[in-house]
Amino acid sequence: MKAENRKEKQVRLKLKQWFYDLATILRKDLISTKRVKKYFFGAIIPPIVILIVFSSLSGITDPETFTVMVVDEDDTPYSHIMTDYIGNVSSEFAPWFNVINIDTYEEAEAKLLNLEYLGLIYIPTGFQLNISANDPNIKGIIYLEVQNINDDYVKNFLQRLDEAVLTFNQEVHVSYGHVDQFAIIAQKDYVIDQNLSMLRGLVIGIICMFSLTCGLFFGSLNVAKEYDDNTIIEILNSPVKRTAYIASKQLIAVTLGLMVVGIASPLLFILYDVEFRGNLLIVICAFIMSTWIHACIGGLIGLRIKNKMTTILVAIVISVFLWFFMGGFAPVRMLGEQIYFISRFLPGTYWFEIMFSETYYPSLPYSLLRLGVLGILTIAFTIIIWYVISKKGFKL
Amino acid sequence: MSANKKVTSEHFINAESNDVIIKADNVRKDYPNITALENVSFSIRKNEIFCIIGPNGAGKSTIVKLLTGQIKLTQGKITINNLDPILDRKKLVGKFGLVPQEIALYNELTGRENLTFHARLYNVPKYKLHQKVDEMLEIVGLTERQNDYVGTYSGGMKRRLQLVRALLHEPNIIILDEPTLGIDVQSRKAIHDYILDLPKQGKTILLTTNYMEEAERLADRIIILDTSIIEGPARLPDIQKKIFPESIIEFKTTLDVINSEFFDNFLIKELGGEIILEKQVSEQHKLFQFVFGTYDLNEILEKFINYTTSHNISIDEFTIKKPTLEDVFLKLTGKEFRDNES
Repeated sequence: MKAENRKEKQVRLKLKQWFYDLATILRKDLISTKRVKKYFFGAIIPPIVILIVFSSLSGITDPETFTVMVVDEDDTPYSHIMTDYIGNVSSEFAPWFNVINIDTYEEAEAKLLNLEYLGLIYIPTGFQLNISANDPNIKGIIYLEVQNINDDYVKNFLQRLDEAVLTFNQEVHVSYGHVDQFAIIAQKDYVIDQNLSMLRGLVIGIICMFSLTCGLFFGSLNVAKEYDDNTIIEILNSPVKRTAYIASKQLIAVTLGLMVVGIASPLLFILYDVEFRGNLLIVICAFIMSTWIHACIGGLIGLRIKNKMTTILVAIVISVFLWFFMGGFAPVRMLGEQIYFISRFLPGTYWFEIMFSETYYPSLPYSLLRLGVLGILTIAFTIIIWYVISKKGFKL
Repeated sequence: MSANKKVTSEHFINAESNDVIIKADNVRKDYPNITALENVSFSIRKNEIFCIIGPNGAGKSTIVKLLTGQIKLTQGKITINNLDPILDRKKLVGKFGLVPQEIALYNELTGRENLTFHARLYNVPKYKLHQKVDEMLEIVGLTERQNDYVGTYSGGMKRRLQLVRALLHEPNIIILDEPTLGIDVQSRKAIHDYILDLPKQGKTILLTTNYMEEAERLADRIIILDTSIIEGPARLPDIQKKIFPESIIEFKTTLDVINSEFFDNFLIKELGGEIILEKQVSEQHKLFQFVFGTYDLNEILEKFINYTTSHNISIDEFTIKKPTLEDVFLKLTGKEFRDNES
């Protein structure tokens, strides 16, 4: 009993000492980071540069276009009237719909499956014939296949398209007297996450990239700086627990990351007119886990490279690579099977999926599942780096 | 060297083996493609200033890294208080203070913050933390600059701060790896004075240096290292005596006293001297250098003074030239050791 009490007391003392060590290094690192601001900018510049470059490439004044293919196989006066109405579905209040004419249905279908365009309107041969057949049971049919970026867009588009069809029906009714011989729409939907030309998706990618850069950048730099300034000697020869040392670097990364994202996210959401509809707690949890994991990776980079400038470059390059592979640049399913396969092993992928889903179409089971994966990865990465630090130590 | 120092040195010569604090036994350290240390053995005793001198790449810093558990031995054994620096790291951390060769301070922190951070790392009790920091800043004359960023300090100030930082947690063993590298004379003197005072406070010191005068001034015992130990451990005079058993007398005299009786019969035949330099320095004066095959000149000096006094020989300038540690070092490391050897 006595021995147990003593053991318990020892464990308590060890834990207390560990947290004291952590607080000591954390306090020092916070002061250092506050005073050496140039490193702070290093973490936020890459995502901002990417955002500016892609924004300018995509046309920031016209943030999003919803381009739909039109295949007019009928190629008759009625179908021409119909395609004119479809081409003008954009209104003052919903100016983002574009159409592009494609010659054959096969070609358009392939483009749709390759996610090059968001929708396909198909007017088959017989459209005019059916409308002018004077048989109330025969309708002029238009097929619509659309990819569901988010409900609002699709609903808005369908509404506009319905208006186009209604206008057409009124036109043929008034002008040609084909009573009850209306055009109708047969509809089927696909669902995808994002599109290359979708700037609002890019905004989510950039917010997610802040997590990567803050984790990798501060995680690696804070360790490499100690080697570069020789101050690691001070740490190595002190009684400080090495796990406490590395944990403080990770906490710094998470704290600074929270600050960066806390400021950047609302600004980006306002600037790009994105409305966050999901669960903020889930997003914050995912962010913390993602940044923590990337700080673990950063710590290993810092231990390996031991030089400030090289570490900064490596952290930025790796951030961009991870951003690409996690789907920040474009939906990974659009980038081929191999990249999709790789993306499943990257923690950033799950963080991006949670952020995207919670912003555009919140789904609790979807996000919780990914949060669980992130949780497992957080534990795994923490164990790996703490093991490396404790067992292998850091060598000068 | 001070009188105190001599007493201390004698103490070490007669010390019992249980006074040994640091012990290296047949140590070898290989790096890829290079052997940094080979067959190195020495013991450092309590309250001693033990100095390792050697040229760059001799293995001085390797010994420091081995002692502080930063690297592993290839062969042999090293102990600090009978504990292995790597296997018993947990028991040893915090027991010694290290002043590394490089400046290892946080430039973005103030002098005071650097010391406070160190004190917290080493668990200096809160109640005396600030008092200790004040005390250390005072010792090295940095009280006025305590709230300035270390990045604005001169090299000498940084070295001084680094020295007291290693002592903040009151370790009994202090390892100083070239602590005065590249600093001004004033800072070096301040550091030397402080180091000389440490054995009186019960500290044991291992000092590595490139500066011969530093070793001469501070060390109780030295080893000369060049991958392996080429001389020592021993007191400096003992090494000098061993490497240069001869002594040189230099004097300037007027031309009229130069006769065969004084030179041939007395200086050469009776005292056993050998003339190594004869140089006309003015119309009336000549400079001579005689080498004698003994380190201890007391008897020779007594006879020389008696002879010159009784024969009314006027000596204008008189110098005893003893080999410096630098001479010893250069001779042992295979370089030219004195200007007048030829």
